[in-house]
Amino acid sequence: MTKPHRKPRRHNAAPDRPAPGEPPRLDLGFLNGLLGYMLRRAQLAVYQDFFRTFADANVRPAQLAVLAILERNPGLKQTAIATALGIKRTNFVGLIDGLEGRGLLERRVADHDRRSSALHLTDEGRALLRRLKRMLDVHERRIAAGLDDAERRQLLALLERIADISRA
Amino acid sequence: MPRKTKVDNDADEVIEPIRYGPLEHWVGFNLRMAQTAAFQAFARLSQEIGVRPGRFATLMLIGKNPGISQTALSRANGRDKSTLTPVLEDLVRRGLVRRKRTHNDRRAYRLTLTPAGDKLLRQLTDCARIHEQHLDRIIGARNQAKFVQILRRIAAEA
Repeated sequence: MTKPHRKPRRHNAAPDRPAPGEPPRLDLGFLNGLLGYMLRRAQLAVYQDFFRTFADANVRPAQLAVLAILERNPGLKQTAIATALGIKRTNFVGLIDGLEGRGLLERRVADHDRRSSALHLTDEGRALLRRLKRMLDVHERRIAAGLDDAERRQLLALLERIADISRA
Repeated sequence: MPRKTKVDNDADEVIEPIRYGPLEHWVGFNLRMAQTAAFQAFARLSQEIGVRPGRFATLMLIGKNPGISQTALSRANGRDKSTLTPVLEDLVRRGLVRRKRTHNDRRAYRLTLTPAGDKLLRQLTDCARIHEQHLDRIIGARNQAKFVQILRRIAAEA
């Protein structure tokens, strides 16, 4: 009988470094089961998948959201989109500049209001959005793979209730 | 289900409700909006007692697991090492976390909280308790366990 080939265990192996695939035995303290924390964890995981999925298209989640909103609301003002998406205005200007620089949207100064310009998708923006939506379907299917329809609906309803706390 | 949107702007501007279109049905988008709103609510609570809200989870993991390595921390927190490093540098600079090199592996650090970090963790824990009660009320006790279970599945699978 041959001995099973086994790597000798290093004596100085860190006690909190588990074998690959084995979850670390950590005390999560009060975090365990905390709704706010689980929201964050789920959101981080979804973002990681998003960035993998959209790496080739070079599109960030907020950029995709802006394009999708503009498709449904042509001519919307910058401030209205920033508020709807909960993005700070200072960060939002750069985001719009980036999309405009890539020729995906254009600013048109509204006649009655010189202070703020209305945003419109270009043909190029619309074409990219069509492609992005197909990629998004793949991404969405992957993140909701473990959920049945009822769970998905319940999840969306509860998330919407939470999203509304700041508007209450 | 059209969302209501409040726009904080000039009185002469006509506010029309924004059509979210397909965004309304995207789990990723809704998760982001909920998480942002929840974090802002938590931030308001912590600002009331004069502390910065960020890094609560990182402080908690270090506080509960003194001597934790950076690798174990990034795994537990669902972040890769490259995003964790600036977070830890910020916490060290603010005097909340201490980093010590290990004898065995010169590249590895052991992390512990300083007394200031410990104090901040206790304050943020108090805020988090109030915040959680608030969230529980919003989603309803009946839905709480199921909701956390769904989120946990997404965090594990995505």
